[in-house]
Formats: sequence, C-alpha cells, structure tokens
Amino acid sequence: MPDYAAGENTITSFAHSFVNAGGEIIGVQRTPFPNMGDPAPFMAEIADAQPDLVYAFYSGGAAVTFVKAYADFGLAGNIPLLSSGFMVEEDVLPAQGEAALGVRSGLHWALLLDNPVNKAFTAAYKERTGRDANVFAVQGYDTARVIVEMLNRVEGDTSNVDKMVEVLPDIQFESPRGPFRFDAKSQNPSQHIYLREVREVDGVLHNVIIEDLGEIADPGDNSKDLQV
Amino acid sequence: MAAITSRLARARVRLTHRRTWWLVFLALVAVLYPYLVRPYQLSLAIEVLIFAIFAMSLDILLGYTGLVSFGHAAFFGLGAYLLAYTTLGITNNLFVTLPVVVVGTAAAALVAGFFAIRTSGIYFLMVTLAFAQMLFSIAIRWSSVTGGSDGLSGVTRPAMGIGPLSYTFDSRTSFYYFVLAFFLGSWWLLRRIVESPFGWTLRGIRENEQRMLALGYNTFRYKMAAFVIAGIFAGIAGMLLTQFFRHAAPENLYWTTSGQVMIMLIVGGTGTLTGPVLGAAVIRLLPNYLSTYTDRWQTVLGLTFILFVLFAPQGIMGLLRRFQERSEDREHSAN
Amino acid sequence: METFIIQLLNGLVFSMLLFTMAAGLSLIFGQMDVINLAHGSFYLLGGYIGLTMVRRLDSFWLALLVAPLMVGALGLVLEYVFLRRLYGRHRHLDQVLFTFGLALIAADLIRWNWGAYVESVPPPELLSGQIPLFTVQFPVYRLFLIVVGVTLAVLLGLLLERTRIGAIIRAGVADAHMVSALGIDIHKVFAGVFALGVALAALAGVLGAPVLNLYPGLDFEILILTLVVVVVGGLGTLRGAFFGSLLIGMADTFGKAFLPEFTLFLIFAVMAVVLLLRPSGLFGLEGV
Repeated sequence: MPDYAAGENTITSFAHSFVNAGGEIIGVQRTPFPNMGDPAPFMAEIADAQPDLVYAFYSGGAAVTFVKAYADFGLAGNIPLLSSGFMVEEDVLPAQGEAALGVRSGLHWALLLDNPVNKAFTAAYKERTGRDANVFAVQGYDTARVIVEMLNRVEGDTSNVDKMVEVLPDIQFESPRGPFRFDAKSQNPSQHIYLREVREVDGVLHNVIIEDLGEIADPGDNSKDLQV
Repeated sequence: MAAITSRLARARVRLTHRRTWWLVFLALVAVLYPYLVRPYQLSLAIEVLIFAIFAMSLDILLGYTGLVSFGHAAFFGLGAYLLAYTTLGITNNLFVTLPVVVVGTAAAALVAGFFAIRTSGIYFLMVTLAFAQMLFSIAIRWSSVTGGSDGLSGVTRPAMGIGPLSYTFDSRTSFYYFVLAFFLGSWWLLRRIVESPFGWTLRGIRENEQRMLALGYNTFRYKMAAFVIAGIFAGIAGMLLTQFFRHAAPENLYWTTSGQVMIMLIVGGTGTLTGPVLGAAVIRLLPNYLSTYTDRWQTVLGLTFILFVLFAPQGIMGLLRRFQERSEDREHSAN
Repeated sequence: METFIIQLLNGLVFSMLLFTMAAGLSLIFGQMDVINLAHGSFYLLGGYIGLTMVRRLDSFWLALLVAPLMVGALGLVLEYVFLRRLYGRHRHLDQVLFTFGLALIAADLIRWNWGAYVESVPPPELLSGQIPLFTVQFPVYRLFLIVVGVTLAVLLGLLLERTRIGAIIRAGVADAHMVSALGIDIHKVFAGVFALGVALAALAGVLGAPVLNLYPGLDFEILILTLVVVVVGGLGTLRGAFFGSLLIGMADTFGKAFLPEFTLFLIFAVMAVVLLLRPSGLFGLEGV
C-alpha cells in the first residue's frame, strides 16, 4: 500500500474485517507515496513471503506499476490479487492491459453497473470526452450534485456553515453508483459496494460485477481506532 | 565642474522627492486596499505578501551571499508545521507561536547549514534539496504528529494580547493587516541587515570568497548566519500561510515550492529585496489571469521565466533600473 | 539468501537504468559546467516518443533507435539557439535556471500532447518472458537492462579513453580555453556533448518505460534520483556516475526491501554522509 493516509485507512479497514473473518496477516508493506519508483524489490519480498492472498491499495501511476510488475514477476495467476477498486479502475486499466486480468476489487461503482442513471451517465460522458467514464468522474458528478442539493435546501444562503452541514443527512438521490445518501452518524457516504473482477468482455478489459455486497456506510478515517 | 555637481545633486533631490511621493502613495493603497477590492482579490494580496516575505528570505542567500539553495521550502514548510502543531496543541497566541516558529526554524537552519555550508555550488544546491526532501518524507511518514499526506487542518487564525485584552485576527481584512505588518517588519529588518557591515561582508563573499578569507573573515560563520536568517524569515512566511489557509500541507515542504520561490526571485531580480516582492506578485498573479485565456499557462510561465534568464538576468528590477537610467540620461541632455 | 540474490539483481537493474541517465548528466556537466535540470524531461520525452513509435510502427527496437536520435537533435537545436548564449564564467546560475524553465515548459507540453493518464510500453516480444529463479519468475527484460547498462558503460569508457573525440572531450573538461587555443572549435564539442547527453536520457526513457511506465511527474522523480547519483559519485566523471548509480540503485532496492517506509530518507541520508566525508562526491575532483 502507498504510505499515506487514504492507504492507511483502506488497509486498516480491510485488515480489521479480514482478521475478524478468520484471516491471518503475515506481512504489510508500505511503499513510497505517491509513486513507488522501481517496484521490483516489493515483488521479490512478496514472492519470498508466499502468501495465499495479496491485498493492495493503489491508484493512478502506482496502480499501473504495481499490477504490471505483479504480472511481470509471474505472481499473477499464482497468488490471487485483491484490491480496492481504484487500483484497476477504468483510468488505469488500458495501461495495465492483460496484467490486470483476474484482479478482484471492491468499489462503489463500476462502468458496467446496470442501472438507468449509470447508463445515461456513462453514455453522456463518452459522447462528451471520447473516453469511458471512471469512478473519479462519478465522484465529481455526485459531489457537484450534493453541492447543488445542499444549496437548494439552504436557498443559496452560504453564510451559515452549520446549517449547511445540518441538511446533509436529508440529501438522497439516485447516483450512477446506485442509491446515495449520507450515514447519519459518521456523515460519510452510505452506498452499495460491488465486488468486481477484471475480465475480457468482447475483446475489451472491464471490471465485471460478480456480487453486490449491499449498502455499506464508509467507515471514514479509522486510523485512530484500529491499528494494523 | 561645480555646475555639473550641483546639477547632479538637484537631479538626485528631485528623484528622492519623487520616491517619497511614490512611497506615500503605495502606503495609502496598501492601507485602503481591503476597502477597494473584492474579497478574492484581498486573498490574492495576502498570498502575494506572504510569498514576498518567502522570496525576500531566499534573496539573502541567493542574491546577497551567492548561495543557491534549492531546498528553501524546508524552512517554509517547517514554519507551517510548527505553527500548526503549536496552534492545535497549545494556543493560537502569537506570543507563543512566533517564538516557537523562530526558534524552531533557526535550530533547523543551524543543523542543515552545518552540512550544507561545507559544500558549494551545485553540491550546496543538492544538499539543501536533500534536506527539504527529507523533511517532506518525515511529514508524509510520521502521520501521528504531522497528519501524513493530509497535513494538519483546523488551524485557527492568530491572536495577540493577554486574557480579556486579546484580539484574534479572524476576519480576512484584519488578517490582511496582520500580514501587512509582518511584511513591512520583515522588509525593514532585512533592509537593515543587508545595508549593515554584515550585509556588505555577505556581498564580499558572493563576489570573491577567497579574498574575504584572505582578509581574515571567517566566511563559514557569515554564511551560517545568512542561512539562519533566511531560514527564520522563510519559516515566518510558512507560518503566515498556514494561519491564512488554516492548514499545513506536505506540499509546503516539497521541492516544487522551492522551485516556485526561486522563480519569483529570478523574475523579480536578485540582490535587491524589492525584486523578490515584485516577482512574488507577478508569479502569484500571472496564472490567475493567464488561465482565463489559455490552458497552457504553465508553458507561458516557463517561457516568461526563460526570457528573463536569457535577456533580463537582473529581473524586473534590472529592467526598471535600465529604464530609469535612460530617462535620467534624457533629462540630463535636456538640461 | 535466495531473496537476497534476487534483490541484488533488482538493484543492479535499477542501477543500470540510473547509470544511463547519470552518464549523460555527468558528461554535460563535466564538459560545460551546466547542471541540466531538464534531464528528466528529456527522459520522459524519449519515453513518450518511444511509446508513439511502438504504437504506430509496432517496433520497440526502432523506438530504441529513433527516440534518442530525435531527442538528440532537439538537444542540438536547444544548445545552438539558447544555451550557447549563456556560456561564460558568471552565468552558471543562469544556465541552471534556463534548464529549469525548459523543464517546466516540457512538462506542460508533454502533458498536452500525451495526456495525463499513465501509459505503459510492453517490452519487445523477444524479451517478454521470464526465467525461473529461486522463488520468482525473473523477467528477461530486466536482465536485458543489465546487459545494456554494462555495455553502455564499456562503450562510453572506450569513447572517452581511446578515441580522438574522447581525448578532446577530456581535454575540454580540464581546460576548455586551452582546447580552443589549439584550434578546435570548442562550441562544436559542447553541442555534440549536449546532444549525446540528452540522447542518453531519451534512451533511458525508452528503456525504462516497460518497467517504470510513463506519467506526468516522472520527469522530476527521475531527475532528483539522477542528481543524487551524480552528486554522490562526483560530478563530471564517468566512473563517478557508474559507482554512484550502483550505490543509489542498491540503496533504493534494499531500502525498499527492508525499510520501505524510509527509502527516500535513506537515499538522501546516503548522500548527506558521502558529502560530509567527501564534499565533492566519491570520484569528484576536489575544488570543483
């Protein structure tokens, strides 16, 4: 995982659930952030540890570097790779190519997610930009939507910040990711999480949804509660 | 002969007069500024003043002493984190936070300087860069203290005074005056320093260190002192920026910040103290205006920078001086 | 032990990639006293040109040849039009700043032309397999990088030590004025060395693309590592670039293996210690 706050939160959450479910963690690697440089040393360490499963959290450049090196060193196919969905998102998948085949990931969205809002969104995005949408585009879209909904509710009065926070829990809508609302307690998004696997569909690599894990509230910043 | 001298003297008096009027005008604009512009432009002005302090501090090293530091963000970022940590943990009272920032950055500059000043030229550049990158790594890594890549947020604006007599610079306008006071104070202090015998010794080291050594100066100590002074003022700039944004970020320590302040200094003109102020204004404001016309504003910025390096190595100040000399020449020939 | 040997190989691979970069940077500095802060930009530009070549012509080998040539030609033009104006004793800082401005522009133009997404270049068919080695399948392409690096070191060494051009370059390092006094056009030598240096950076860019991929920001990442290498090794010497690359490449690899949290820290710590003991680097000439 990359050595920074979001990496730490994601890994902590995974480790927490993993251990509770009876898993055993035999090692954790924190790699330089934002980019890890030459990934080879990490691959050698993974090969040396011989785990049954590798969970990784990367995004952007580091995600491509990691996934490709994982395949280059012959680890792909031998040790299953599990990750947060950002690691094999549509923005990096073309660069990863076949190296990403079989990677499983959990995320609150997928390009092929079958709902009317998503169909409309992905089609409009492609028409406008010429590229497939990715989770960051969805997040940007939803964020703008939340801001608009919030402004509507306070009738454009931005002087009272507390009031703006107060209306947050009332905001609910159908997002490309499915139903979207805020968790009343943590004020983090509460949404469906999908288990996805990279497969070839009509000659193109995609994250295919293999299971809807149901609505889950984002645990948010848990670095103070849990430790790996 | 006497006629020429008196004519020159008269010209000089006229020039001093003109300069005084300019200063009065500038002071008026600075004081009334918050009432003349929109909040966004006031924010820009605050940023420019803060970066002006940062750029002036680098001028002490680069312009006056000839030490090219590529890691000046180390002290800027350190000031930012020290302020954030003290404010969040103890108090936002300036009587506490300012000494912490000054002593902390001075101590860090002493340590870094001990390593850096033994080297020169490109090696000095690299050691200073390395020091800044090391601090950056620590800021990212030691998240229990530094907040990791998120930095430290929730920093409150500074307060001054004791008990019921304390005042918090909460509003943007009051904070503008707070920063303006720091800017003027720094400008005055740094000006005093560079015009002192100490400042002239620094220039001597820049021109010819061997000669200064031969004259019996302990140049290591002088360079060290310059390094520490530059570090302190960079730290103060970092402190102000953190108070303004209410946030200390690892980017404050990153080498791009060092690069940016270097560009400000070069475009403004080194070894002048006024140059860095102009440079800070131009470099901070230019992207705001350019980005409305073109997406390639970074290219335009880079080109501007290159043109200055190629054709006006003395920066804006050099251009102004050339312009002034030419108009003086014209006045002379007219007389 | 087995993993140790694998890591040693990994370190060697990365060292050789760094050496390809550092050799060019060091050569330029030794000859012209210019620290080329755009060296990372030439690396990235080379890599992206390589990417386009591989996509259009489907030939990695052609990319390996053409990208350095194109970037080298660009280097010639830049030297002739701009850098040449900045030679002279008191303009060192201006030269450094010029290359810094160049790096800013290059970063923006590269992003404009090739986009901000991560791109990867597949290794050539011939080298795309793996060799089983203890616990891992070691990629053949990485072994190829070691071969290239060592070959390059030998070739550059021969060029500098055994040829007439090399003699002129070495003489230029020692005393450029003396060389011009002997009737050799030192400007031509400067231009040639600059072009060769940036072509090496572009070569490294193509070679490194299958391993490190291409993305905006890589230019400065690689530049900083290369600067550390030449400063540790000593500026202006081929030997310094070689052993500096080995030291930093190994520090990077073993740092990642044993102390992944502190890798960056470790590299700069190595540099600080070396400079403390030898202010001009391991093989640097005193008083440079």
